[in-house]
Amino acid sequence: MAVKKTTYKEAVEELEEILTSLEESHPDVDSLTAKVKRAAELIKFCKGKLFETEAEIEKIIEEIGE
Amino acid sequence: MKITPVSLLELNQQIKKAVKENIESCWITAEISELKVNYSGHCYLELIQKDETSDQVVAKSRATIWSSHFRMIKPYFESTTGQEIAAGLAVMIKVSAEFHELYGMSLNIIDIEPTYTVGELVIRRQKIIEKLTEDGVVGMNKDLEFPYLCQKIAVISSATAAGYEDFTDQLENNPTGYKLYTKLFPAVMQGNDAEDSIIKALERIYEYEGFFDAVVIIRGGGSKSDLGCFDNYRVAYHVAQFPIPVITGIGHEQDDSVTDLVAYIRLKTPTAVAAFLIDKMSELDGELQSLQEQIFQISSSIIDKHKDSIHHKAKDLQLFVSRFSSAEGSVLLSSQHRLATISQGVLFRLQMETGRTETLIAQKAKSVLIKDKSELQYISSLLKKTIHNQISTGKIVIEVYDRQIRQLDPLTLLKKGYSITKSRGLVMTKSIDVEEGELIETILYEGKLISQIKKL
Repeated sequence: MAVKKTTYKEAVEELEEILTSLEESHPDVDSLTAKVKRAAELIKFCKGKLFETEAEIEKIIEEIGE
Repeated sequence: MKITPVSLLELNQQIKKAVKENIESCWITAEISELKVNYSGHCYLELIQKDETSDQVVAKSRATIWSSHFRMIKPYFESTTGQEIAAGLAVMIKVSAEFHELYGMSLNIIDIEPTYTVGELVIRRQKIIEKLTEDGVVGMNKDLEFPYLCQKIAVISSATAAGYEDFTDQLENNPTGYKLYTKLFPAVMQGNDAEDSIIKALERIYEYEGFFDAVVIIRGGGSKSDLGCFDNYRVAYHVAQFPIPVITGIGHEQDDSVTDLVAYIRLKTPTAVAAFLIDKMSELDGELQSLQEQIFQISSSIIDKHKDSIHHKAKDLQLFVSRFSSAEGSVLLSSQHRLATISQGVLFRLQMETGRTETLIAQKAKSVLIKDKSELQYISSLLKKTIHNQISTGKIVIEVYDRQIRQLDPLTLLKKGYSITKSRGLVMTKSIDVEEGELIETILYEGKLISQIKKL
């Protein structure tokens, strides 16, 4: 997924941008579809951050040691 | 000169007597430098006095609080000061000096005035705060931006503290299932070693500055505990300047310690810290859900608008068609009739002409007396064919037109379920054409309906 490198904050900011662009312009069906698809990706990414364990982080914590 | 020595015991007995007879019990002020309570409940202390300017120890004495006194002094002191009797505290105590032949001088503590300690603590705290303010570090941790997603927590606590277990348990088993990562940096949380131990833990966390979102300093258990290490200049100095927000939950009910004052946020207990962190996650979750809903709603409304515009176009077409089926639209009907008549006429004429041509050719052929009969026959058949083709093409074209017209026929539309609504004999295209209570006529494929407008 293209969202991988984004931080949670950046993802939320992009979601806010998408929302603003939907509110301000009246996109045609195709670009609406693309935007909603991207929004869904970002939401999934954020939910993952909030609820799922990232092996990478666990590994770093383990490496810090006592 | 004859020397008559006395034994050490005799001397010590004399000192003991002199002390007992000449030194009455009195109130003194001192600082506790060491304190131990043994298994039988007796409290053994070392009292010191420091020179105010040089900080050098200028007096020192052992002291004891016998368990019979300690049982009463301890709760009295703690309930007033919110603080355990511990090393580092300045105290006002009533003592009686005692000399023991074997153990030497010792002060027997028989009473304590806790308000003195409270006052001293306030003064000491004030001095530390003044110094930190002079250093310009007091607001530094508070001025940090709290991380948007606060998820990776460095914890400074004693590994065995019940408060630490409660804290991690609360985070790990939060009912919503938010993911929080904790890493313990163990430290001694009270007594003389606490100061260095806490600073060392902070220094270790500093190595992973970019990784952690927040530092949590927690200490579990009761509210009456030794706060000395938190009313400590060096600890507070480090916390204030720490580049990551520091959250304290050092479990005391009374005034904030200096460390609490300089921390990003001060909470009462480890449990409160855990709740705070979970709340932060829940805020983000709520924000995300609201974004999701808003995007969903606005997308749906955009789709609806697109749908509406298609519906409008469809309706326009329907209107257009129904206009034709209205009274004035009878033009279409007559056109249809006319077209049919015309086409029949054309057909007839074509046939006539063909016939005439054939006759003409025949006549001509006869009259001219053609030489080559077969050639003529060929030409004649060719002509016939051409004309025939023309006729059938004409027929097809007419049929196509006819079918198209038939589709526009109001009857065909009515058969499909459309209906015509008339008001005062005129075809209605807008609801504003009628008024409430008025009767309207709906023409269906078979039959009519008369309805009354109840509401517009």
